[in-house]
Amino acid sequence: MVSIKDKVQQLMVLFLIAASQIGVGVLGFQSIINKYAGHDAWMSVIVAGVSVSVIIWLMYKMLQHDEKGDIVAIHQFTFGKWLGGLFSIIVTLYFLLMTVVVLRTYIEIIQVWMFPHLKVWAFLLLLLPLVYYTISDQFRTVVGVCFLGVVYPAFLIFVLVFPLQYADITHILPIMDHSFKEIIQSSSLAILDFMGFSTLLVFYPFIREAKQSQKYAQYGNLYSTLLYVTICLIAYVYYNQSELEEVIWATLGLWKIIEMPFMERFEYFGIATLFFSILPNVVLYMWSSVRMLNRTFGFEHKKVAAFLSAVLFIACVIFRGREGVNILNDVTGRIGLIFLFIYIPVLFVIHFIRRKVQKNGSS
Amino acid sequence: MVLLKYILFFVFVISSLLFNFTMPTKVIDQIQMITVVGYDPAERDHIRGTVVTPVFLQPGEVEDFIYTDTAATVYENRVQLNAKATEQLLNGKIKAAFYNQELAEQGIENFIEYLSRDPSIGGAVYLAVTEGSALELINTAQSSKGRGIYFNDLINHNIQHGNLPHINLKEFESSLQSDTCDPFLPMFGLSGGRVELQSIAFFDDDQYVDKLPIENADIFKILYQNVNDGQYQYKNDTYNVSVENIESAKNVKVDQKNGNPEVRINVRFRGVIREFTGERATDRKAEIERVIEQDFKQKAEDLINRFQELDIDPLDIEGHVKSSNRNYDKEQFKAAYPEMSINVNTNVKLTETGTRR
Repeated sequence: MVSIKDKVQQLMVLFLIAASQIGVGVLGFQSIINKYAGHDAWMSVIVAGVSVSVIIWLMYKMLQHDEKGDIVAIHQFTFGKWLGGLFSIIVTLYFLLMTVVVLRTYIEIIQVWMFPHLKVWAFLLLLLPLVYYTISDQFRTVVGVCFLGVVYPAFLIFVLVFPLQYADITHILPIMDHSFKEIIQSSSLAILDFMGFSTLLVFYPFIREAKQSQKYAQYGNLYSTLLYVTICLIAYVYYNQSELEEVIWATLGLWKIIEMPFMERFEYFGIATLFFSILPNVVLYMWSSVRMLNRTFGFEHKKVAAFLSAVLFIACVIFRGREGVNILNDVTGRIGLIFLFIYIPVLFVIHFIRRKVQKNGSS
Repeated sequence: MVLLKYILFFVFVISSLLFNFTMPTKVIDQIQMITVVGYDPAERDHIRGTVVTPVFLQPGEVEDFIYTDTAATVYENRVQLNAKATEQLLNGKIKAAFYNQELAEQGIENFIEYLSRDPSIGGAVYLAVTEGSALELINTAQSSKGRGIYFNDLINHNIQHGNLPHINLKEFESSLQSDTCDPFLPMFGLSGGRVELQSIAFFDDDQYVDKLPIENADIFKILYQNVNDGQYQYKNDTYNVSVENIESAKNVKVDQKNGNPEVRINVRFRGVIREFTGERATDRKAEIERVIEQDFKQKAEDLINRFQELDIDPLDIEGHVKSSNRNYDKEQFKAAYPEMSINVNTNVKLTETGTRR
């Protein structure tokens, strides 16, 4: 059991969910999600947000029945020790892969926009002590980082007013020009940006009176959905659709137009600030994988943290260039989709049946 | 154990800083920031690239260095220019880019592409076509502010208060990429040994096709965007009238008539009379308004007819048709465009007549 001292307030769930959902995806999702729904793809973001909300509800339904209440316990209860352990390892690997994706994509952005000569491994050496420091001790440190990760970059939303002077509403008209099927298809691409909330399965026991905290999780999801929809709409009125196909990071491209008397290029400032919304992603995923290994095998938390930091280092150095990062993004996107929308509901059903069977058996 | 952790942290951070320390640096005294670039055609499919970099002698005193050479590509040209420059030439401060008309006739996309790919270049760079040689134009411009600021200010005030519609790299690139509309650029030339904004150059995709003298561009500007501070001149046998401080709003309505789109551009503008050579402007405001409305409508429709004949669409009529019609078909529109019925409705309101009756 997690001692009450280590638990965090319910309100913090809002920041945990929001911080985990807002990551590297926010910088360039506009030109990915319009694949099927074109200029209507901003509606796909809403669809994605709503479906994430349903998954969060499913997760809470599942988690609140277990006193230990995390995915490792659910796995063991549902599948038994060995099979459950195997599934836990797969989920751990998924979280670890997500860490690599987030960190590597951010480093790519630094390389493209700021320092083309940046040595990835040397930069990682600077970053890893920070990551290790955050994940190796108490969960509260991670929560603190997540809180700052939502609050600190929030002012960047005001900067998006600048591109609006180039807005042309005809770019998103006529509304609903695409079929529902296309919008749903695009929303499956939009989901990729929301995937961070799956760490809820791991940090659930660290919330005080976790059962009542669902509304905060939903508020967190609402916040990030609104943010995504806003950014998406702004990009869609700023760019036309054929222009969007040429840009890799549409949100960063919005900043290209900003001119301030004291700052020639806003992106430098923006990218540096966005580190605060990348770091929560990294530490939350890392912490989750560390915690899962710790729970599954009983390894010491700090040692696992050190080991996984080393793995993270190697993995980030291996993937190179746009193609490497792209493959990484595609693969994790697909895995994440399967994980969230197939595995979680299936797990929910099996867990539900299992619980009923056991209840009948014991009574 | 804890001590080991901190030692390790320390070693990591130090080695990270040490190894990234060898990254190439860009110290402000050891670089030259390009402010203006110009491209001319040269023999054998080559281009002549010209760059201007300012050197600050004393506060308020700028001397521009101009480097020029011919090469096959933009960056090959940069290598040659670097071979002449005392410091490394960098893109970050580009304010204006000029393209020779001949080059523009062949298409300029290849020479603009690098501007939007480079993260150090912003979207607010001004692009322009030059009637003669871009090199000569850049050479002719003399200013104590430095040529970068000079061209920037020249174009900027014409956009803010003059007849030049809002156009920069971002907007040019946007209409270039767009499926629906064609771009335009300001066009410069030399007159009497001075640089002059002469016309607006219209493009078909990325190829220059036609120009409109800047004196007549007020109509295009009012049709193209909502104007905050414009002007309009009208002259007939009995009087001249000049309307200034124009604030305009336009909207485009598309109706479907037997499957063919019918476009109406409604323009509303308000302005004040600054020059009137007839009698009693205050009593004849309504009459002057009608006359200007007629005149504007006539000229605007002539201009649009010209665009239709050239089969170019700088006003993004297609974009408006597309966004108001769910059954929009590109082929059908393309076929119908040259003959399409496009009407302009004008509503002019003269609010003041200055300090005289």
